[in-house]
Amino acid sequence: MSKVERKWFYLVFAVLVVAIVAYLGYNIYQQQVYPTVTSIKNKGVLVVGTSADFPPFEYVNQSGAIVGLDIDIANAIAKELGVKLVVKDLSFDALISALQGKQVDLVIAGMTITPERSKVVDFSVPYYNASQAVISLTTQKFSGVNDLKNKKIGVQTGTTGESWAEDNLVNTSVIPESNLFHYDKLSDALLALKRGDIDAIIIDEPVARMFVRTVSGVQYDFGIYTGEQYGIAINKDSKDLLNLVNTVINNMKNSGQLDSLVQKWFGSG
Amino acid sequence: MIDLGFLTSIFPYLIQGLVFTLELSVLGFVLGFFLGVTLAVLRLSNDKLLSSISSLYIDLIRGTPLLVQILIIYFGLPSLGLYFDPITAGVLAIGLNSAAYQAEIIRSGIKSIPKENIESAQSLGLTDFKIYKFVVLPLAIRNVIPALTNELVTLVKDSSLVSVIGVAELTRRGEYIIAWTFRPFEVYLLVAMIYFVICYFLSKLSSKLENVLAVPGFFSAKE
Repeated sequence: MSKVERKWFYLVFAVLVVAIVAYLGYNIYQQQVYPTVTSIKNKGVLVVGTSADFPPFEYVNQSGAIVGLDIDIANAIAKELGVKLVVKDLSFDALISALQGKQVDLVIAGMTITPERSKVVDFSVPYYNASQAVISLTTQKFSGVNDLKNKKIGVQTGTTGESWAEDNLVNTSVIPESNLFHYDKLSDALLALKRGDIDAIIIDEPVARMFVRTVSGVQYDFGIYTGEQYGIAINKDSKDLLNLVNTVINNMKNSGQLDSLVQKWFGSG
Repeated sequence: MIDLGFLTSIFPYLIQGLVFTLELSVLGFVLGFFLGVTLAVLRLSNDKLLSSISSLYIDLIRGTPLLVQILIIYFGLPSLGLYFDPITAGVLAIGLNSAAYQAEIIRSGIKSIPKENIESAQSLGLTDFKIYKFVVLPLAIRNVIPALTNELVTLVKDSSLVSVIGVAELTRRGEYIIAWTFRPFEVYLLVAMIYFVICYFLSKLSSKLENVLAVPGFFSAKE
């Protein structure tokens, strides 16, 4: 580069850097406040984050719309606020970041209330009691833990079902450790079940119910109560929104609306 | 095991996702190309400062995962007051990422230009800028078309990473379908086939381009 060209280049570069810094500074100065009931009403939209691959809580139906139990609850909240509902689909791991980044007003995604999550976000009152469940091929029926004696059990890595099986089947010698099979995906476990490599799978109860309705030759054996509860996650700085959401959920519980929604999405199982 | 009726029924839905996949990868590639050319030229310049800025950028981007870059642009930048919609954030992340790789590809192209060409241009009195514009870059870029195609095809597949911030591209749509059908094998197989057809088409297009742009008697692999 010649001397003159270089001078121009530095100038353009410097102007660019100054412009970017000024723009960012201005933006931080204008930083929007955390969503409040008033700010949502002013915007006219409630932005809800979810991860649409967890039927029947939220999934994409044949016509490409995100539907499910959670979406119905979100609609009830939007109705209470008198605003339009916008559903944003993100990966499950990204939901809490989206809440903190203010890209969504609340998260409703079949999210279990845990102490770890409660440190960074607020949870509404629980709206669903989720447990684990045992499913198997219709060729053999299990009605309780005792029936699983020395059977081969499949679990999904990282789930509550996995830790339950370790604590209550392996550690209590109901099955030897070599009989517990860990799969990354539920679909892998299903293939193993169909091939006869394992006798049963332990998974989230709502998923199990959906599963047995969709896949033929598989049945729901029995549920295992683990005390997990699903809640709606809200930014810690949006207390008035949290209060409103709690009111909506409590009203839905008292009026029986929540029960009928559960019935609508899960059927008789 | 494979149910053709099922595959036909989900095909239109998947194809809508292909639009996003192509938007992300092609726009990202174009952004990456222009930024990449700039970075390559800067890196080769005699100016220590400009050259080291370019090297630093390339090292930073190549040394961090694309997924992390996507998450930083979409979730990190809002804390600086910069909000992007998911598609824009995805194109930006892919473009900024690809720029680092394309810069190195283009730099290798530039280095392959015989120095006699540059000396001839200098003896004609062309400025550095004109030498790059009329002599070095046209030849260098022709030379690296195969490597750039490689990069584009990689981007087509890597664009699925953008699904974490909620772009319903091809892979994500596959996951949606699996979520309620529990038929992973068939769905993923179809998704893979769509990727393959696109990538195959792109690489054919690139060899066509190579032939069309070939300078007779210069750098031609074919006789």
